[in-house]
Amino acid sequence: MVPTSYYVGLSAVLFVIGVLGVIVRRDPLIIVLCVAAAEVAVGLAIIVAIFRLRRRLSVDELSLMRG
Amino acid sequence: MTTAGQIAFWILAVMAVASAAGVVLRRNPIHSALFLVVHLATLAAFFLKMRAEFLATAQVIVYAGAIAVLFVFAIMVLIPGREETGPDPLRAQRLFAVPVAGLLLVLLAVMLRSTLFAGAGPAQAVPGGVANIGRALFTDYLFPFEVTSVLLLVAIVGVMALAKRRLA
Repeated sequence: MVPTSYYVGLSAVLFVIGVLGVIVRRDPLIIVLCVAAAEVAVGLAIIVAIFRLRRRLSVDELSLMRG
Repeated sequence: MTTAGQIAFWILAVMAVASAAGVVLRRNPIHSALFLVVHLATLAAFFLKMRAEFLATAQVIVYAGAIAVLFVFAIMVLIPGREETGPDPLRAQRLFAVPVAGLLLVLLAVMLRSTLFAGAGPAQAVPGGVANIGRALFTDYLFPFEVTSVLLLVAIVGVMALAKRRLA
C-alpha cells in the first residue's frame, strides 16, 4: 500500500503549483483557474488526513470537529 | 516491493503534477483549461483509488464537468484567442515567484512532517459507500443540505443582478 504521507506530500506539491500559477499568470481568469486547482489539492489532503486519523471513511462518524 | 497500488499511485502522481504544470505554463488560456480537466480527472482517479466513490463521482460531475465547461465558455466569450504575450510589466517581481514557491513547499513539508506524518501508517482501503453518504445527507444533515441549496440560489440571483447591472 502507498503510505498516506505520499498523498499528503503530493497535495502539498499540487497546492504550491496552484499558488505559483496565481503569482505568475497575468490573466484574471487563469488566476481563478489556478485557485480552483489549488483548492482541489487541499480537498485531497483533507480526505487523506481524515482517512489517516480514523482508519476508515464513513460520514456517520465525522460529526466531531476535533480529532 | 512494488505493488499494483504503488505503480498506479506513481503514474497518477506524475500525471497530476504534469497537468498542473501545464495549467500554469501554457500561454494559451484554452490549453490551460484543458490541462485543468486532465488534472481534475486524475484527482478523481485518486479518490477512486482510496475507495471514496462518491467524491470521485462528484469530482467528475462538478469539477471536470460543470466547472471546466464554465471556464472554457468564459475564456471563449471573454478573451477570444488572446494569449499572454508582450513585455511583462512585473517581470522583476515574477522572477521571485519560483524561489518563494519553493520556500512555501519547504515550509509545508516541515510543518506536515512535524505534525501529520508522526506515526503515519499505510493507507488502508476500506469501502466508503455512496449509500452511507446519501443516507446521512438526507437524514442527519438534511437541514445543512437545504441551507446550502438556498445559499447557492442566493449566489445565482446575485450573479444575475450583477451581470444585469453591467449590461444596463
